[in-house]
Amino acid sequence: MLYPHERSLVDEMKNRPFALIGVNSDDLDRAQAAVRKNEINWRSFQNKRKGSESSISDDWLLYTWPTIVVLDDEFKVRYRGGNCDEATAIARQLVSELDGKPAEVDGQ
Amino acid sequence: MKAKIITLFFVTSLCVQVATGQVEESPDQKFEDLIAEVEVANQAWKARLAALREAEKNGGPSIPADAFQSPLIPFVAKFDTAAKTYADTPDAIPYLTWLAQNALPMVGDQRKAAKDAVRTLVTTHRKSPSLEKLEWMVGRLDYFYDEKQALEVGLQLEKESPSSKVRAYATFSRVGATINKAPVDSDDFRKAKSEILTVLEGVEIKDLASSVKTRIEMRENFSLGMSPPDIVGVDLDGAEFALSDYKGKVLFIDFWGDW
Repeated sequence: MLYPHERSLVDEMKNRPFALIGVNSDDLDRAQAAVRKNEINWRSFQNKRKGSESSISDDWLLYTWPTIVVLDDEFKVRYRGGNCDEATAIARQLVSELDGKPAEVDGQ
Repeated sequence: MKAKIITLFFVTSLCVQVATGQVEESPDQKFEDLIAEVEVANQAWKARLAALREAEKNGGPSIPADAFQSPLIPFVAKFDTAAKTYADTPDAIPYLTWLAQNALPMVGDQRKAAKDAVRTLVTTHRKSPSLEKLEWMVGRLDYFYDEKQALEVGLQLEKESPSSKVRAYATFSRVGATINKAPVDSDDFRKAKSEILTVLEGVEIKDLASSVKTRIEMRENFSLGMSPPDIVGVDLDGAEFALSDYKGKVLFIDFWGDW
């Protein structure tokens, strides 16, 4: 379960050039319940588009869940995969390069 | 005189046989008759639904759920039985094709009959040009078989089908997953891309060609260092926003679900 890790990442990156954005594949009721239950503090797209057969994950050619994509400030892909720790390390490094503050490391 | 009597005897005999149903209809005629029955049922279904809609609009009762049920369902067993009657002969092909084209969106036994029909077509009747009518089904053999069997059946189609379209779909069935999932800088991806683009060059399957080219382009543009397409959508409260609203920040995008 990535929720606690992601919640703390959002808190850690507050006021820094960072945003965590979700793309949720559940039906809306379930997604909203998950947000309340898990105190999810980031914004999510609905993966399935209303009135359309296509979904965001189709457009991005993603076939496995969960998948994390990290984009840098120029909107370029810097990570794509399922390893949350690796994605987090890359994101921290990128944010640090942007604002000049040192990257934190989990557990320190 | 004698010849006339003999001719008259045969004509009379034939008339009696036809009238009493003793003359076996040809497989083609049987198929046409069944299709005509389907058409009659379809028209009756449409007319009933239109009448119910009109009544509902004028304050009558709501349309019962069963009114929406496909009128084709009762015919699946008939086509299936006919296909089995002509099993292993080309006469089964129209029945199997009808099942594949019409019963796949159904559920339970009807869906099973459709899947079995596709399996029979792509194996027993793999040399028939009629397989062109299956279109995407030949391109998604993994929907009908496990991975190993899908590969075997696809390779056989690529080798033996007389139709370049069928062969192209079979090639897509074999390399589609690699196109979708293999790293774009891998030899597997490059080989799959080359194979499918070569095959598609020689055939006129616009939907497949454009879909494959878009996928390849997307994959290649989605590798590290490339920019993916923007996301414009709605959040869980229904408010519209775009990923590009956050450009200039590092974005950690999580494709998630509450599993």
